[in-house]
Amino acid sequence: MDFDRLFQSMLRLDRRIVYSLIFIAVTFPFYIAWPPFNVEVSKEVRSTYDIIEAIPPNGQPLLISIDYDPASAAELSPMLVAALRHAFSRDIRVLVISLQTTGQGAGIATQIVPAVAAEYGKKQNVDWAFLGFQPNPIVAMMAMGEDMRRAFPRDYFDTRYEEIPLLAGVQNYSQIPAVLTLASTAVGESWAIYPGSRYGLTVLAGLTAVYVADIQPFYQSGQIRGIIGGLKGAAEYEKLLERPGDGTAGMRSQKVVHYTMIIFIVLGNIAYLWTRRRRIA
Amino acid sequence: MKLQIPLLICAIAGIFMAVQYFIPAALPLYERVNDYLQIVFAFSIVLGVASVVHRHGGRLVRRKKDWVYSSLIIFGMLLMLLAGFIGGRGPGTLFQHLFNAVLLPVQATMFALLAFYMASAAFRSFRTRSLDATLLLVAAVFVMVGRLDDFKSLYIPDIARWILDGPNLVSKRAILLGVGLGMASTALKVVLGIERSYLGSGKE
Repeated sequence: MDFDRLFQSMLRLDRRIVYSLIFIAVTFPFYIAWPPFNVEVSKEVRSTYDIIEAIPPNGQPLLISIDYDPASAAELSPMLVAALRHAFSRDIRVLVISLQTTGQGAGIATQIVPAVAAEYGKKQNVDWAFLGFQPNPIVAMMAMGEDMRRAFPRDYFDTRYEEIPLLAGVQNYSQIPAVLTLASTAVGESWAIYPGSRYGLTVLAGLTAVYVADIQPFYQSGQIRGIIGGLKGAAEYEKLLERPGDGTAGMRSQKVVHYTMIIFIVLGNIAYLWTRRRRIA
Repeated sequence: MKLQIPLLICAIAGIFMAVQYFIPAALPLYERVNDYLQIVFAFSIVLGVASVVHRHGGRLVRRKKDWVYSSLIIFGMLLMLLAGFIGGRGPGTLFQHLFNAVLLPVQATMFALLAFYMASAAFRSFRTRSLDATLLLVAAVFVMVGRLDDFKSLYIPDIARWILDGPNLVSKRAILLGVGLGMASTALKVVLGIERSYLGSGKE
């Protein structure tokens, strides 16, 4: 067998072949539910779950901040759905806001929150409310620390703050047991730095996988009390809920893609080392 | 005066925001400043829209190169504005339908294309050219496999966990500390009027 030719051609592999294999690796597991995926729940996801689990039913609301745009929806929307299902299944009230600068988080909230609330027969403004978006995240976070009305005088659907039953008695972070920020940018970090440190708010973060490494120091220091990291984090949360969803389905694709990429990397390196050795010889 | 007044405003605002943290009596003023900040930021969005209209509207009117794309931007912006103002923005509205059916899949598609580029780039560039590159490659493979919770008998998930909690955490924390100190010193320089680049070059 002519390894020289084989490895040379491998090094010149048409990128369309790579693209085609990745396309197959991503799409097929969605339709044939293969390979099996057994996820281990990490301590970061476990602590997020436990903190939400400990919120008293029909009491003060869990604050969920949708701080991502549609580009990150594939990773973060499964977390949003899982967290909402967790809260609503335990009759925990949910207050939703979005601090995504261009307002696209508001569109995601309007798409997902009413749909999941309807699964559990939850009423808008009684069991959940969506206050809308604010374009300047840090200023909004600080304003909410003193008086939420100053940041959100009306909700997304133009209802006055005072007319929302869920918000009766909710003035600032003192009445919020925890915030779950779902973020693909530094907004997640800002929740820990500003409301977390100044107002003592319990901060939980659902983040894209690439951003988890950046936020890990805040978890280690206790400034962020729980992390749901990437699609795997969503799958872990779904496992805790015993209700597989898009996170688990997505992890099957991710598993095949990871192994496909590893095979590409290994083959590429074998070909590279072989041809380099030949050149030196 | 054109220089001194902005510097004075910056110094007063900067010192106030630092000092108010320790003075509970300054709370009402702090809340008022927060309100001002929200209003100022809202204006920046208006400025952004005006800038898009000015740039792409001008290109459209003068039929410059790629004016078709500019017309699409203006059309899309007007369509969303009208849909939001006339039909509202709640579930089931045209505004939400456009968001779900156009913006969401388009943005997700753009981001998803990264997977193809990353795979191709990894195949072509992730090579054991040096010790550093080899270490990076080995760490990447361990983390990629470890994230899937496979090969537990070979302790791969534990090794991946150690890489994230050990070397990664240490370096990230060092970077964060450096950035924090840099931010503090820059803020101090701005408040004291030493750093003035935010005022522009001074030329009309």
